[in-house]
Amino acid sequence: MIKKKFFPSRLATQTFAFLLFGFVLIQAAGLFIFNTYFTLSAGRASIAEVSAEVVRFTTLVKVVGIQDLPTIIRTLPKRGLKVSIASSPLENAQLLFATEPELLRTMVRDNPDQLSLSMPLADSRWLNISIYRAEHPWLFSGFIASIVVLTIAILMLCLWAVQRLAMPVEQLGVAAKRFGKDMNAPPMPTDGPIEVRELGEAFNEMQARLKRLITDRTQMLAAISHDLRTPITRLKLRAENIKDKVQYKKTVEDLNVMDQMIGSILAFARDYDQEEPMEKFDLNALVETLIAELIDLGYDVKSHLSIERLPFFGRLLPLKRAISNLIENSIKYGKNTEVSLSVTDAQVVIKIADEGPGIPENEKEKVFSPFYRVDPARSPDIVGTGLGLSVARDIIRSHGGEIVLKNKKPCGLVALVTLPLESE
Amino acid sequence: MNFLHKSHILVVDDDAQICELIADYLSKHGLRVSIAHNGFEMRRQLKKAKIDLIVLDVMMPGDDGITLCRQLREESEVMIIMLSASGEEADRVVGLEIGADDYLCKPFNPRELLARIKALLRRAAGPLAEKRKASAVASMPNIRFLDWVLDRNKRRLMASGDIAIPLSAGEYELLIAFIEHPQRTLNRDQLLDLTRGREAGPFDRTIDVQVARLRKKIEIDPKNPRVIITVRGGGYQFTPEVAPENDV
Repeated sequence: MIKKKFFPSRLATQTFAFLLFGFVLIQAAGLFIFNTYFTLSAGRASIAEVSAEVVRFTTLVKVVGIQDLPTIIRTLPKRGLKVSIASSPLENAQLLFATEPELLRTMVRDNPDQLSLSMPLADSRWLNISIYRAEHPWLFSGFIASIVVLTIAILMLCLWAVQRLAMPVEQLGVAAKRFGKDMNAPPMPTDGPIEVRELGEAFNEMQARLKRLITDRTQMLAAISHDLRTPITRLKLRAENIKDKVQYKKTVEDLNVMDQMIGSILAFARDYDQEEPMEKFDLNALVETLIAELIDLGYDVKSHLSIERLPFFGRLLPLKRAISNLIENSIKYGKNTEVSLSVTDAQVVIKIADEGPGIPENEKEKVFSPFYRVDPARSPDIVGTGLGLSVARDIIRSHGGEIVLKNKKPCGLVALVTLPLESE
Repeated sequence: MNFLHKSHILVVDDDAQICELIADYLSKHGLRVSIAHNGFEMRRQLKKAKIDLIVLDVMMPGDDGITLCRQLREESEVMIIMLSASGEEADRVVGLEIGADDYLCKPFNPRELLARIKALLRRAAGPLAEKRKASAVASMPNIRFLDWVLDRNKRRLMASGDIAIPLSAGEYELLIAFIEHPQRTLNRDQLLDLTRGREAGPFDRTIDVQVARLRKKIEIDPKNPRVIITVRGGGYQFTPEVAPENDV
């Protein structure tokens, strides 16, 4: 379980982690090889080698004549030593009067990195020897810095590449999610590597096909509903000939119910069909107008709205239908409907509360599916097609918003609509 | 209501049964009714007798109701009520814009149809009839007053800054009534008549409530109105100049 916690879950981070691991491994191996090579060869002379050379040069003085000495010193290879002839000894140098090899080795061993030796020559000049063993390469700040810079540069490149590769997959996820909420979501971009492009095209094709399927079916539904209007018109006219007042009233009521159902099916079909333009309108005035119309129809709706203008960018008529569906539901199933609207910096919250029976917890999601109705047997007098909430949620979601239903204490239902305010 | 008995209604619908049923119903309520099933028959009927009002179906084979209504408007002042099964806001607007006097959705309540016919006939006989024709506002798709443009296609007000203010059906009807009679005092009864005089329809709220709502939307200070002023003892007056607006 702990393993899982530390293991990155995103595609981009996972790939990047693998790359990072590999890169560190390669760097470590490289440094190890370099170090071994450097120690074994050219770079760094061992203490033994250095002391042997010191012994060699000091012995040389005794063997070679003073006039040949400079040439010989120049031509001889020197590993880890700087050797010169000068008129004065080196600063801080240990003056050497004897060339005892054991003593020299001890001196080199005791001070292998910084040792200066000066030895008087016959012509009163000095043979100066200083040990300069090359420093271990990664102790150079330049070396470390270059490794760090290189590492960061390569890692940035990796990060960019990994993100570029993972982005289309993330986009696909976002597009699929959005399509689930909004039928008219724009197709996902098709660029990038061939596989990704093909994936995007396949997804867009599927989206188009699904949309066509639903459109065809809703259009069929709309056509049937539409054709039913002529016989209902005739029936309404025929009903005027019914002499029995009770029968007349009931017949007209039934016909009105049929008419309402057809109306909501047609409205449902229209939502998929019609591309309403986005425009700027006053959301406060919209809600107020809706409530005014309901009050005109004789319903009792209370509202708490501000008179200030609330500019909102969206599709006016669909949004009006969505909010109207919610308020009408609240009137139908509850009582004492109250509508309020509040604005925070980023979103509008429209609250529609009633004091009705509420909705059982396990039905809260189901009520949003098309044609679903909460136990029609319990409320047989309430006319409905089960489309109102489904339509409302589709519309609200296509505006980037959400509807939440909550049961209220002691009784009643609250529908909370949140709509993001777009910053223009 | 004696004016009803002189009135002659022509019902134009391709559905023969609907024609007959409407004719039956209307004649039972004292109207003279003729029937036509298409544009050709409609013209023949119009030549034969003087028609006061046409009930015209939108969806007909051949010349549809919209085309017929447009043609009728070019040659006569006859009142027209359109019937449509689509019930779309847009159709309603098109119908009113091309000169229909009223619009009903199928399936309509026959009593509603009768009420609207009566309201139109009464209005034609009333004192505001001439003025209404002269104003010719009915044919303007968009109307400007002050900083406002009324978009009749969408039944909403456009404020300066291009923000749309939706209007309720009641507010819209009332505003149209005012716009058709600018700078003229209208009393409550006249306003009720002008707002299509529905007898027990959805607008059966007092005119005062609708005026108050409209003021809330268009007045800078609704408590101190300048656009729709109250005339003591008389009613209301719409003060601004009204002009057609070509682009919204």
